[in-house]
Amino acid sequence: MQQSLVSFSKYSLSNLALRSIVELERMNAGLDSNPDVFTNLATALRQNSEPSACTLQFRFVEPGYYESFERLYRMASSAPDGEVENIQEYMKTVSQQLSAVAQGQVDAAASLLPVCIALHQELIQELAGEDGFDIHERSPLSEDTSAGIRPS
Amino acid sequence: MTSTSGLPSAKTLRLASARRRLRAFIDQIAELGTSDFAHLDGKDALTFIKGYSLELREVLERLTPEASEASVNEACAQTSLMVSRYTDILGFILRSTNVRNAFEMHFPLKRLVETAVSPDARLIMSSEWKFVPFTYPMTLDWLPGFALVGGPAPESDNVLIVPLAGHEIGHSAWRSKQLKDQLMADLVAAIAQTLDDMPAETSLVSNELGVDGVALAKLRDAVLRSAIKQLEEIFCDLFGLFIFGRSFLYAYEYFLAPGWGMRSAYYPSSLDRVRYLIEAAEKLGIAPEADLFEAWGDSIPLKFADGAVIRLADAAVAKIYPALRAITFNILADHGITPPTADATDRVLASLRQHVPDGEGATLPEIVTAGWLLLRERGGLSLDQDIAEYKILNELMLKSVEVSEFKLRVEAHA
Repeated sequence: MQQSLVSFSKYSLSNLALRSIVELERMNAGLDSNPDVFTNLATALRQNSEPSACTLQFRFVEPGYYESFERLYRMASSAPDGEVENIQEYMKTVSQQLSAVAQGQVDAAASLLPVCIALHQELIQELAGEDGFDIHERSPLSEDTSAGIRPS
Repeated sequence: MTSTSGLPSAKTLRLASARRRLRAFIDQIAELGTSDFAHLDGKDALTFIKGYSLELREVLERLTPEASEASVNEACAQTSLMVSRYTDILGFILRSTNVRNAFEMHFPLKRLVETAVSPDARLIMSSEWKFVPFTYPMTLDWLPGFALVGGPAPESDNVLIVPLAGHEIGHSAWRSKQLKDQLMADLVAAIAQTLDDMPAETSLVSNELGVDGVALAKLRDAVLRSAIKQLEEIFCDLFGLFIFGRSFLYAYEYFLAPGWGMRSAYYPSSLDRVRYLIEAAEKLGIAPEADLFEAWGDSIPLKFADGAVIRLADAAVAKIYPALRAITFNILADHGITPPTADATDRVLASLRQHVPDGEGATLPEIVTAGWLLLRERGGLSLDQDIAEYKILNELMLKSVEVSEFKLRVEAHA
């Protein structure tokens, strides 16, 4: 069994996205900000968009994130659909921009704010769709976060 | 920040509302902390939830008054989501203090969680108003080291269903052992092979999605998501089976017979699950009765593209299953966990037949297995004239668990 790095949960990612929004707002307002937040989000995006196991038979993003990342990519590129490679390249670019901001290159902060807002929106909608306590009447391929011993 | 009327803007007031909602939630946690907790894990969970709530409050407080409407909306959405999600968990924690719960079960199951999941793992058990044992593994980012096991309220005093807690605790082990990440590379290879092996299914989905290249990526994503969740469920079944032995099969049959149901993308089909269980049981030297699952029916398959995705996922899962079974059994064996022994189970069974609890320190799985064997040899104990016998059996199992617990504690200090 080959082992890949551990993925970040949707909540972790949404939390990092929100924190980045708050810190970018502070940066844009000329207030103090916490650069670690950007580094953490950059790492999470890199890991979830390109798990190390995808060096194998086909490229993929962490299961459960493909649609969110694809929509984010389409919003940024106006492309009708996103190839996995393009989505991963875009997420890598965002990740690099976040790292740059973390290292003090604040000129990218303004353009990153709408990206973080869109990312957070995507994740929060996914999370809100995961009603952990009602596993009835779900569409077959929707996210189901509760785990009974049987499907309901 | 004010509106044209001179009053604070809607944005400012919306953020204030989010802060008040969070404060009310934090106040509620403090109130619940005054409850009587038979076991402290529930109280510890409150501390964790409060800690994360305070962190979220700090995030809200760092949001500047000049922040954009969109940023404020995201902060409000995150607050509502977490307050909503964890209000349910607060309810679970509160119900875990209810005296209707079989508190005797907590200690042996807690030891199991500590051994099989992590020495720091916590366990909260509660009777719930839902007729299926369940847990909340994916939603508990604020409680990552906790296993929450709910049992249906009508069965809250039924020791015989305890083996199903093994399945639920398995979800915590799946996360703590990072098995998804361990399996991913091999699963990707299995899916790639399966897509080649099953061109009809692949074409069906690709044609429906309609876009070359992207369709294949979407298909792979859908198969991957279904397969990884199916593997988690199988892992949990194998986890429960290894620990509780044949009593897991009986408890499983008790709740889920005769199979059927609508096929979910995230569970193996009814018959596949049973096939995996029987195969794994035989590997453990357990020979289930030939007719135990014989008359079970399969889940109703999905049609069209969804059905094809699941057939592809099922085929990939079947390729990974032998490795998954080996990993599961190795993890448990490496932690010093063994299935119930025949000798101890027979000894407990002999005691139960004589209406005497076991006094030799049998494990919980051995006690429950013996209980199931007695129930089955007595024809199920379901008639009116059997009620007393059935209740006595349950009490004898509980007493046996208490005796074992007592022996463990006393002998530890001998």
